Amino acid sequence: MLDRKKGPLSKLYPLTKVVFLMCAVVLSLAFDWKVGYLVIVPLTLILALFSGNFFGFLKKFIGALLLFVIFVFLFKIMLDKSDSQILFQWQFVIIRIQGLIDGLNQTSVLVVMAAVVLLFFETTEVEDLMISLQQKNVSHVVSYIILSTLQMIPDMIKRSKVIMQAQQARGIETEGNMILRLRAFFPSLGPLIISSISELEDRAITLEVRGFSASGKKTFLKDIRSRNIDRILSVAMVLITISILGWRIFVWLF
Amino acid sequence: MAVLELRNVTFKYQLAKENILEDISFSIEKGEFVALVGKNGVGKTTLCSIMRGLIPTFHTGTMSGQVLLNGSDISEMSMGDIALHIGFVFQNPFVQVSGVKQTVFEEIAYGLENLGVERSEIIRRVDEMLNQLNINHLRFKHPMQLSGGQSQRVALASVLVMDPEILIIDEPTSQLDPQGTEEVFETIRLLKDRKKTIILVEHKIDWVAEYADRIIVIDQKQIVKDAPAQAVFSDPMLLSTGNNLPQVALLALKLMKSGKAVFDEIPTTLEDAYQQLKGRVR
Repeated sequence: MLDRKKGPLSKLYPLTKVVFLMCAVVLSLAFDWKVGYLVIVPLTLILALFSGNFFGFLKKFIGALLLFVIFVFLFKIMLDKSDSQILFQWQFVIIRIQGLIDGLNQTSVLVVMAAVVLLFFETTEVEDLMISLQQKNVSHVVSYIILSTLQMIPDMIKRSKVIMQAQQARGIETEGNMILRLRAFFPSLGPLIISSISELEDRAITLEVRGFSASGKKTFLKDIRSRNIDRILSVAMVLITISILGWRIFVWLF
Repeated sequence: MAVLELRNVTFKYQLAKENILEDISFSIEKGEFVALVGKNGVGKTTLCSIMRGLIPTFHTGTMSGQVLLNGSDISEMSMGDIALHIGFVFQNPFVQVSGVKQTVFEEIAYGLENLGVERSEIIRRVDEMLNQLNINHLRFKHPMQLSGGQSQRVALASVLVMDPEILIIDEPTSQLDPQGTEEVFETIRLLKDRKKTIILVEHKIDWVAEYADRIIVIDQKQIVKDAPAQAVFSDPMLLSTGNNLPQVALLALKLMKSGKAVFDEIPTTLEDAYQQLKGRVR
């Protein structure tokens, strides 16, 4: 078998990483920006060092969020009219501490979610996740739908390229300025959708031929197992999260 | 008892004006190698889908008649149960991938996973199949990044590895070069030796003549001939149905017509021709 994901984190059971993902999101929702930005994101970055592809992860992380975060911060800073301390002032641009905090609060959950989800997919094969879900009695039909949907995107990109090449071969201009590209792109959507739908039937037949709906227990070529370390980590993460939430509720109530 | 039997099967596709097949009846015994022959569009692929139980479930239309698998009506069996008995390799190799596997090895193993075969047995059988079809070098390639010929062999391997008792193979060599074609037919020969029942649709008549036991010729919606391979391929009537005769049979007929040679029976394979000619040619 080919081990496509490298690094120690890829050796963990997929559901252990799902537990981490959920705990991180729950904590970032329950607390303000400090937990997200000062604890969870740095922790995720440290864990990413063990992903086997830290710089790849960092590139995707920054690429996915940079524009959004900058936009939200500018928006919050510009609209902030509070009386809080001014951190920076230049002509009409005034950055107040409250605007900055609002920006941090507004973005922390999304930044945490992006970080943990990216790390999850950086260290986990989608198929491994599906196998682990099936081991927990999730229907193989449901897991196939999730898996094939995720893998459909590259297929459709490939198919769209083929259609564009076919259009080019018929003399349609597909390169040039934005308007020209758009004019070539929209007519290609029809064939793309129709060919994808027609392939669905063949795909369904292929699955039937391969015994997809055969009765009885399925087996897996990949040996995906939950080890002791997975169980310990999962229990520890859940206990820590519950304790922190409990403490938070206690403080809030009293 | 016949492993597969068709009784008076007639089928019309949902939006078609006419039937594609009419009153088709035949039975196939265990271990037989039957080839379906006919020009394009006569309904060979439709007939394969009927035998596999995909019609009328997947391709809707009006169907009458009965298909019996080991004596049981196929329309009353589930698709999963049919998969245990009948393997089906269809024409277009590019759509015969599961879409959820990342390597050829995993793709071939997928059917066995669905059937609940033990992991160690899956690995053994997939390895064996990769070697048998000479595609070991593809084991780590992505199934969507294969050429037509490679896809065709992977599709064939994915079905053969499930070891069904009946195999319906629809034009398995349409995208293969001569060497690939020979390898596929060699694999089919091994299956025949293992007493598998094989139903093959193939336009490469010379290969069919070499391997098939029995030929069913379809034309004008019906079976026009159902006889042993030698009888069908030595009869010039086949030419009138838009099919060709094997090259050696054509040569023999031409020699006979010009009075240059007389044959006890028209040879249809190279070996036949060699046996009949070896004593006469210096």
